[in-house]
Amino acid sequence: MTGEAKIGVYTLGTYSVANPTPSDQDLMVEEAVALSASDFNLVMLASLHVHDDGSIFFNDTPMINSNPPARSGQLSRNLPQCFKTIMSKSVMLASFGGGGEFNGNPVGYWDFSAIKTLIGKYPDPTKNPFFQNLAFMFDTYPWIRGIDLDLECNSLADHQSFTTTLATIIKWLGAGKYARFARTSFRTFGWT
Amino acid sequence: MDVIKRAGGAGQITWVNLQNADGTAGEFVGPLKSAGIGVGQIVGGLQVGEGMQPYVTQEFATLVKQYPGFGGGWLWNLEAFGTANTASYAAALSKGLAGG
Repeated sequence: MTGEAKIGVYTLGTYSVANPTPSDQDLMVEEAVALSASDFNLVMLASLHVHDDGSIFFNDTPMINSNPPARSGQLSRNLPQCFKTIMSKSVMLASFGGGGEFNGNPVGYWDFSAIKTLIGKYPDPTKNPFFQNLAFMFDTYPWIRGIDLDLECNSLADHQSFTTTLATIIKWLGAGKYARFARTSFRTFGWT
Repeated sequence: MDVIKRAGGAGQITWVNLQNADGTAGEFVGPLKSAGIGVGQIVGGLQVGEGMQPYVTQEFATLVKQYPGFGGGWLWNLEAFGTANTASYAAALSKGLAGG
């Protein structure tokens, strides 16, 4: 996409339905086709979440289980075809974190807290369950080309407590991946 | 900006998606530039609902007028404006980035 203006959109929820019905699957295909026929060239899947054991959820649906990494089997079997359709025109990213409150903090705060704890326990990315699962996600869905870091916090101090975590994620992923800045509804700053 | 420094510098970041860019660009463009992220690497976000295509064009036209060479834009979110409107929202965004 170098040199080309990015025309992006977040898609929220359509592709994360657990055990989708034929009707749900038709909607997924319809949206993928609409995206590929539009001028959008950047599509971000919202929102992925990380649990304490490093497992990855796509909204409320388990996506990648931990130890060892494995597909949950609850997402649509047609996702590869949908993602391939979207990718014919767009770069696709998986957005981790996001808003919505849980136990007094934005959901993204808890996702990055889990990642922070796991980095502390497993400082080698090859042994870190979250990074093992992330690698497995990229292998399983190779149409996802990077991640969008949507850390949202209640305060600037909370944001700053994740500086090393975010820098570590970016370093471990390597150049060519992507990051997003966010601003919370409380008008504080952060990386997402 | 500490994150950019600690991650190994701006070379580690392909671009930055700036949330609510209509209200935040003024605060972020300068510091990001100082950190090595140019305006062409900033992609501005806008929250939208149904029937807001003219608003999308207007907001991005204003943004690129203020910051020529802006890297692009994104919308939150597709389900809020509906699959049937995907092409028209993309076109509205594209038109705004082209100056309106």
